[in-house]
Amino acid sequence: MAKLEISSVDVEYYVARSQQTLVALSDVSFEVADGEFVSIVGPSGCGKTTLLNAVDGMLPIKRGRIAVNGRKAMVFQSPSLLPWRTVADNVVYGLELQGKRHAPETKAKVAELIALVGLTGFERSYPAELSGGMQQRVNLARALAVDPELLLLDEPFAALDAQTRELMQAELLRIWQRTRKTAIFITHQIDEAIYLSDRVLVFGARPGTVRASIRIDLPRPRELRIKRQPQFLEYYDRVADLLVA
Amino acid sequence: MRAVYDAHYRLILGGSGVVAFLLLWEWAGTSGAVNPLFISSPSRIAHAFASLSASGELGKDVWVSSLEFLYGFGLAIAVGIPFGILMGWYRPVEAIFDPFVNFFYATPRVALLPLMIIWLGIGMNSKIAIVFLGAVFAILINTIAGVQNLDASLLRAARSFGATDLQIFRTIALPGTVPFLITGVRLGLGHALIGVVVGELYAASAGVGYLIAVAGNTFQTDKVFVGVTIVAVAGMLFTEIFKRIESHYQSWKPKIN
Repeated sequence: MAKLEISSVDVEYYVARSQQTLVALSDVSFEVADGEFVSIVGPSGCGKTTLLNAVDGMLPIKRGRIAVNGRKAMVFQSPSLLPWRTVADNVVYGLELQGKRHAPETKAKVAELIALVGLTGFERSYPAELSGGMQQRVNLARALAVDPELLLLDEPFAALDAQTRELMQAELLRIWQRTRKTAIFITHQIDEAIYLSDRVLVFGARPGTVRASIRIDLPRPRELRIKRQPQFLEYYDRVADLLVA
Repeated sequence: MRAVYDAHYRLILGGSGVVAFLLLWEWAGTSGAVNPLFISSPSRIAHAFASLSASGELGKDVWVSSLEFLYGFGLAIAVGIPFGILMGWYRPVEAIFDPFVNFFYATPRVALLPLMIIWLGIGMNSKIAIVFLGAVFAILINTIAGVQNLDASLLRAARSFGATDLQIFRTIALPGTVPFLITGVRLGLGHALIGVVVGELYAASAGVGYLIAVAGNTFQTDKVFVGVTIVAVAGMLFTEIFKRIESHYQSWKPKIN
């Protein structure tokens, strides 16, 4: 069974200022299979984040159906870590909300996740003491802690500088390779989408809708230098052409 | 020597200034350069302090003022914080009470003293009321600001992880408000001290303010200074304590170098 089924979804906003209804998403349909990594690329304002919020259950949909088959967790664009909590206490936050803070396996799990995202030694640091990249590692660990079957990533690397961004892409792939979580990754960077994904969905704007679905047949595990191979660049051009079309 | 000075120059310079000032004051008061009836002198004040303490008069006044302060201030905290959270969290509640809060916050609360005395008499209760009114609005307004300034992205994250309203309140609203809340309490403290002293100056039968008023009316400058010093020391002490608490709770904020 697909982890996520989206069929004929419309999302509309009412804009109070102009007294108009804005169609953010129109007739969006796609599925994400178990264990699949899908990226959504599109121009600003194409409703990609709107879609993710709807999948997260934070936004009502006007028409259609969204079925999430399993537990989900979100990695936010801004790290949105609790500034008064240490790294370890932030990672445990989702579990705590589920009443599992003092469960016997929690402590080991938190330590394991902190190690997985490469933050061992920073357990007692506060978010303000960490760099942007490190904060996003905590953000990711916090989402992984609730053991989600579907991971929603909303442009998690958008605020990072180019080098950190590439590093974090490689890190995310390494972590994904270990956990094999079904994932939806929102981005507006084409190379990021191709590098990470099994499939790239290209969105068009106003109203947001799926223009194309491109399967990425690049072998895994992937290293960053794959981005310079001809096959990768072909994918890049295809996606780029679709975006401007 | 140089290193010692660099490390403690504030203490050294500040301390020297105070000592020089006290010496000058002592000289002016005792040499006859200025009539001691006006300015007294440190030694006379110390003497007055000793005799007031010995007679038990001072102890009683300090006790009464302390009780008024503690009851009024405690009540202000007990009312200001929960009510502030309520007003910050629920917009309609804030809309209803906002005009009243603004009215009282803009009014010097000591202007309400005559009313308090008509309602509650010249005993401790009127002073407790004025201390309460003095402190509660600073606490209230800061608590409201704290709740309203909560980071929306944190609330969003908590909801995404399935947090209930109660969990959001406990894990985000409360800790996120603490620094504001302590600032409010620290500011309220100053108002509360003013309330005690002015209240007792105006009409009372005991207390440090009462001591100052009576001594002033009878030209006992030494005793006036004893009272003023006690109030000043109490104010400095409390403010320092709350500054420490404040910085403790803000330890998670980025360090500014």
